[in-house]
Order: sequence, then C-alpha cells, then structure tokens
Amino acid sequence: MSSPRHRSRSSAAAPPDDDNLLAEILLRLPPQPSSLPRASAVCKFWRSLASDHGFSRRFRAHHRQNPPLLGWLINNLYEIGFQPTLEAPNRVPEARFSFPIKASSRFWPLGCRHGLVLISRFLQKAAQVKLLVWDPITGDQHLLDIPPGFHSESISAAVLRVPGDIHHFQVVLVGNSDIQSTQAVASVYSSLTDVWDKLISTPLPSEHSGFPTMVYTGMPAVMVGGSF
Amino acid sequence: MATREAGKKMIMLKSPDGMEFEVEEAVAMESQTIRKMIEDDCADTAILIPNINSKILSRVIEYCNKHVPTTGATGAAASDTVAPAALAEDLKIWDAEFIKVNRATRFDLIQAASYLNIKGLLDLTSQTTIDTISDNSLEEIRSFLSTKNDYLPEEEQTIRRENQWAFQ
Repeated sequence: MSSPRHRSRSSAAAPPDDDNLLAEILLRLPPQPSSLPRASAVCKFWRSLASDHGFSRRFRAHHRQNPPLLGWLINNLYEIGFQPTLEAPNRVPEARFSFPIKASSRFWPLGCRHGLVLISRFLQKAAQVKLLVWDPITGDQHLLDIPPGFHSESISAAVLRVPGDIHHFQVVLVGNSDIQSTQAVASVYSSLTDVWDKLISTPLPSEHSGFPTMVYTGMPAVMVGGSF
Repeated sequence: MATREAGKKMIMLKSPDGMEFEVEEAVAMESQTIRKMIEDDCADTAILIPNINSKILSRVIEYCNKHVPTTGATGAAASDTVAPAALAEDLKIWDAEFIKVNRATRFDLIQAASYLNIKGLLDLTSQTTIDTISDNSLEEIRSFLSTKNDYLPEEEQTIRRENQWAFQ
C-alpha cells in the first residue's frame, strides 16, 4: 500500500501526478467493460495501469458490490458459448471468452458462480473424470482430480469464491461413495491450500423400489443458507 | 466552526502558510494520518500539516467536522433523535454541495485526502472527478486531467483496434 508520505507534492492547480493517486481515481471508473480499454487509449501510463494485474484486482474488488452482467454462457453441447447482453460500447464480443475445451472432448458444465465456471470433463487418455475451474475473464484454468472415495460418474459440484477474497475459490463436491452406493459423500477443495478436505459421509435414505438413491447430476447444484 | 465545549480535547493544526486551526481531537482523528500521530504520541498540541495550504486545510476540517460521528455536528437537530437513514441522506446532500468547487480545488482536496488518509473524502473527491469525465471523449479527458497524449497516431489506432468494440 502507498504510504501517505509517498511523493506528496505541493502542486497548486495541477492534477495529481502521483501515480498512486491517479490509480486511486481510475479505480472509480464505472465497472462497465469498456472503461479500462478506453482508459488505455488516453496515454501510455494509463495503459500500463489498466493492464496491470494488481490494478485489475483492485478494480474488481472496488466494484465487487455492483458488477455488471456481461451476458450468458450457453451450453450448446459442443462448447460453452458466450452471449453478450449489454449494448455498445459495452457489448463484449463473443470471441472474447474462448472456451478452453476442444469440441471433440466430453464435458459437462456443473455450474457458474462468482465469475467462475465449473466443468466436469472426461480425459480420454487417462480415462478419468476431472474438474475444470475456468475464469472466463482472465482465462485462468485449474484442473482438479476427483478425490478418492467418489463414484466419478455420480457427482455434483459447485464453485464459489471465498467470501471477501477474490483470489481464491472453493469447490464443493457431493456424490455417491465408490465403495458403498448407499452412502453420500462430500468434500470441499480450497485453492488456498490446494487440498480437498476430509471426506464427509452420510447414509442415504433407502428407496422402496429397490434402486439405490443416487446423486442427481442433471442440473446445477443449488447452494442454500449463508453460502452466497 | 467547532466550538470549544467542556471536556473535549482540542488540538491545533498548522498549515505551512502559518495559519492555525483549533479543532476537536475527535474531528482531527477522522484523518488516519493524524490519528496515528496522536496514538503513537508523536503529536504535541500542535501538528504541522505539510503541503496543504490554509484554504484547503480549512475545507478538509469542515468536511471532518461534518462527518465525525457522535458530535452532533448536524446543526440544530439532535443527532440521536434523527433516524440513521435521514442522517445519511443529509450527509449526501451536504457532500454534494461541499464538492461544488473548481477543478484546481478538487485536485488539491484529492491530494489532501490522500495525504491525510481520509477515506470518505478521497472517495467523494475521486468519484466526483471520475463522474465528470467518464462520459467524455478521450480528448476531453486528456484536457481535463492535463494528460499528454504520448502515443504516435498509429499506436493509438492499434490500441483502438485491439478492443474496437469498446469504442463503438
């Protein structure tokens, strides 16, 4: 953080030319997507600021309470496409968010939350299901192994940012036990520690029909209580 | 202006042009910089505020006086009988009037708010500046902030092309 004594100048009527102070002002540009690209065209310093990762993080943190809805992500079975909803000049082109999985791959979107997309994908070579956390804005990707104890075809999961922390995320995974299908299992991954928590398990209510109760994988997970 | 009341600790703030302002300690401590000086016991009864002239310092004190909690600085109405929402609305209207100053004064207030670390005042002055320029053309923004366009014409064209959608 800048110290209050940082190059404090006694300029009479000139605009602040202290870099930190200018950053402080530009942080308050509207959160609309055109703000920073337009600011970049003002001068070289503004461009270096707008493309600085530290500044971008502060910009997002500053506007955390009122982020604009850029558009929708649509699952068209071959890829997840972006459909912008804002008007020009804030209409972010569809190509801005390039889907990170090849069309030939098998994948299934599990949900979106807090600007992150969670996808379950089948890796042909390894014959394994993995979880992909994708940040469409930054392009960051994290591929996670499903921890031991889960029946990999019977999982549901949700991704969320850690409250008050825009750098880290958590993945909550629930599914059927791979050993005993009458048990439901759950675990939470934290990107901060890069580990899955200890497995929690609970018996599933038995069905009269004789079929085991399975975790339903056909719709995005819903989070309840103080999880938002 | 703050009036001296029994039991309230007063301190003196001095501007580099020799003016002295007697303010309640609680008002001065709206500035985190001054608060730290007082808490660290670095402050005598008088504190010299470098770089901030008396005209700006008096405006800053006026702001702190209005925003300091629990002093009843809201005029005739006793603050404990006014609903918090009404108080917040009153402050918003007061802020809007306070910031109706010329460009140079606003820039000086930004620098003062930053040096003295007064978050509310830094928010108010910076946000007002951004609100003034955010709908303007690049040329108007440069002129308002006296920013020199240091791009070659073709460089600027390239930057616009990279994110053409943002300039439509």
